[in-house]
Amino acid sequence: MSERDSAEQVRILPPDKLCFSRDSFGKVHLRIAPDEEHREVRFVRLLPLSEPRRYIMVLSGADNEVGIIDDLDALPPEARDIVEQELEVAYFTPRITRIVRADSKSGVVCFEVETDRGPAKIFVRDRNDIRFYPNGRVVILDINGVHYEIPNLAKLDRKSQLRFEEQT
Amino acid sequence: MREDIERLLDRGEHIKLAVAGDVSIHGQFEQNWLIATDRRLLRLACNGDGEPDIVEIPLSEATAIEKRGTAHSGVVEVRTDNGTVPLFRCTGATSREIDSALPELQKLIENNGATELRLRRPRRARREARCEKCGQPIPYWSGVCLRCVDKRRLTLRMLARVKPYWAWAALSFALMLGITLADLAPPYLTKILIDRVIPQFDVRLLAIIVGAIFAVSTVSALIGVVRGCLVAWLGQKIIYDLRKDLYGHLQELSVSFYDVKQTGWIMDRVTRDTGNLERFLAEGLQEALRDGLTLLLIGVILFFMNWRLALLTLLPTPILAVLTMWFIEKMHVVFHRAWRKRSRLTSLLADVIPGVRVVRSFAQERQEIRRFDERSREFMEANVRAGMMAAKFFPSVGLLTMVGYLIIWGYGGYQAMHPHSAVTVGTLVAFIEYLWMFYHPLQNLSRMSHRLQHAVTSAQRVFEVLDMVPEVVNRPGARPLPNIKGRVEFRNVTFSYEPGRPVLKNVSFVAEPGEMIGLVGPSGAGKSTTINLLCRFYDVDEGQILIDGVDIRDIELESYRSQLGVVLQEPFLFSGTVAENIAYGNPDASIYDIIRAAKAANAHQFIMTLPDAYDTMVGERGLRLSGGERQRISIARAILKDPRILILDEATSSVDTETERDIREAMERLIANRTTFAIAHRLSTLKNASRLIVLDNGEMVEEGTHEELLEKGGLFKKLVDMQSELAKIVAVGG
Repeated sequence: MSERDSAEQVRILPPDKLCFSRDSFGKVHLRIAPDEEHREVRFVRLLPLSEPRRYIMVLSGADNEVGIIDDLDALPPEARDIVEQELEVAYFTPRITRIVRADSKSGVVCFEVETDRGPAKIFVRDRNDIRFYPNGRVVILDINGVHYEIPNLAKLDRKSQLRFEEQT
Repeated sequence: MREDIERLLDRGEHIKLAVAGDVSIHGQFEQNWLIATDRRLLRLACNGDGEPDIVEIPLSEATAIEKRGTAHSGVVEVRTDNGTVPLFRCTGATSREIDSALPELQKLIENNGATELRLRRPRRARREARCEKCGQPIPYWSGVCLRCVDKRRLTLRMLARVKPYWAWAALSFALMLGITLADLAPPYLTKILIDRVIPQFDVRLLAIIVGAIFAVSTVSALIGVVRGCLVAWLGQKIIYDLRKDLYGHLQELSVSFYDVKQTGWIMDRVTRDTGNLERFLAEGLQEALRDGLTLLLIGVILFFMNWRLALLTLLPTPILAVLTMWFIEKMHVVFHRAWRKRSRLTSLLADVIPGVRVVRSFAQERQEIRRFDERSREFMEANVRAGMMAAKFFPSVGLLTMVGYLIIWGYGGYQAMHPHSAVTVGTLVAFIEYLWMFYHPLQNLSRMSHRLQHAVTSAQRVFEVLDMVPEVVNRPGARPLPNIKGRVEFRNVTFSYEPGRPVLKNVSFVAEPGEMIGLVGPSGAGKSTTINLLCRFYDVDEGQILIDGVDIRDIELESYRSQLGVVLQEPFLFSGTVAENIAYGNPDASIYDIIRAAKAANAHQFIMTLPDAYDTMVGERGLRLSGGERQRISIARAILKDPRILILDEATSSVDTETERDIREAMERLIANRTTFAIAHRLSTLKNASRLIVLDNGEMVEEGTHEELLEKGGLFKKLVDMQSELAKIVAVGG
């Protein structure tokens, strides 16, 4: 039964006790005050779409669960920077700044967009892959599995909004 | 007839049952009755005016009553000490009525008349649907007796839905009157223009009239815009309210409602019928009033301008109206036919496409193509007929309307050539324009009766659902039971879905808090029914189900079900994210609660490998999960809900051994400290159960632990042996 207890355990990491460091190979290590060490940690989002800045699971080695960072913004700035850099690699999410063109042919929607990573052409096969979240946030999952984000639909320019709405 | 029967009875004799029949004992059609009183059984046949033909058997002589035959027809025989007497022949629906009454009649005989009969109206087969009031068969597509529909009452009920918005509706109507009046002005102004302004070179008046026509048209257009927006909003708002009420009510209705009605039927009510109502309430009604008014006003103006010409001009209109109505009647038939053909075509698709694996494996592609082609051709032909019909109609209507114009030009033109005639060129032009405006509402009105019929039918169907009363409801005085400990007792429970065919017979058992009870038995034994009753999808017919000693019917439904967990064999996932599916039933759960539950259900590991972790879409259009994965998500759902009473329906079947171990482990965590009822396909999976209850044909035949029952060598042993035999065969063959 002890195995069962550990299986159900969820550890929420104390944000002020976390110290991340990056070695010369680019690997990230974690020290939890006072004396807990984890080498080569990885970060996985539990809710990558609906809550990208919260609930980040820290893993070390293959699949050893260290715990969960409840809120990225509660971390000290240095720690947050490192986690954000790591997440940025693991979850490439361009932000859409303008929608240049939008049309749909036989159910496949195509957006030509400008993003913070440069221009892109997004194909969406199923309108369920355009997800709406509170505060006007929209996430588009394209046909290749890349996530594009509109941080706030209402803040896009009028024409982009119209083009977007016509397709949804 | 009733008097005839009552005349036959002795003083103090009571009728217990009366069934109308239509066939004599020799198989000839005749009207007759089977009557059971507290003293005797009677058959009564009416032969014309003469005295009724009577067969009677005193209850004291009868020993048994039986029916010989099939579900469709048969003969009721009464056994007496002197032999068997054929009493009554029954066919069709009567036969089913007899089937459900027979056990009660048997009791009546056994108790020599001293029982109250408990009769339930047998559920009618679908094709037998008849109106409760007038007995007319009800068309399949309607579900409502078209003769008995009280149009006035329904129209009033429809209008009642408009009541909260009556001010807006009145405004919209007023605006429409404004448009109608405004539209009537320009032709008359044209007449003045031609007759007076142009011959007299009156430039000032010309400017005024042209200006007036412009002003009137502008105003009319503006009002049109305002009214259009208003009507769009109003119509949708009313129907939005109706849909909301309808769906709210659907969620309250008992499971038995969903047994009887198909999904398509219900979806039609919520989407199509409400749409029909919307069209009628927002547009149809007001348009009809407007059209009537327009006709009247134009008629008045025409007669005012020149009554002789008016009389002649309007001569063809009755013919036109009759022709239109006749045609619409015809069109209705052909178009309905075309619709039916289309729905036959789509239903074929809906049927075959999900079964494509079967089609392939039986190599039936050609056959299916032929079937599709057949229906597709039927559809095409029906459409061609409808199209040809329309092609014939519109030109003939055009021709007939032309007659009106010819009369104006012929007679009116001839008159206008004479100086000082009452008919001027201006009158002619005005007449032509008014006639244009006359035909459109005329055709609309001819269509009106159909539109009304549609709306009323839809209204009836919607209200039918709204008026339906849920079968399983909170009894008066039902109270919440916040902390169920989990003692479950079945006390002499008898239940039947259809009268006369009990599925559970006098079943009694007790489950102590925390016990796991396995339900075992051949298919049809009543395992699923036991679980349906536990979920309180239905109420028992006789006996009681007690939860912690309280009758289940005295516990508030919501309070009870919130403490009940169900894991089904085919776990149902809603379209939504993994997190939402686990939190279904617990929408306030935090992500940490969800993860804890997922971990306990051995689901966390695989969830983290999904592309969007807990945000991954599953369900109908989402990611396809394997059976074992869906299973574990539904276990997590149950763990999160933390129910006091848990129901597992064939929880581990059709998954590989590796996953099965994961699932079983998850199950063990789930089951701990809860009263659990489990149906398992594989009897070996019930080894951990505290006790097994073996059901056979609705009766409880054995009870005990796995070992006890094996030792006992009864039905359970037999089932286990059969299964291991089967496993061997599969092992050898596979």
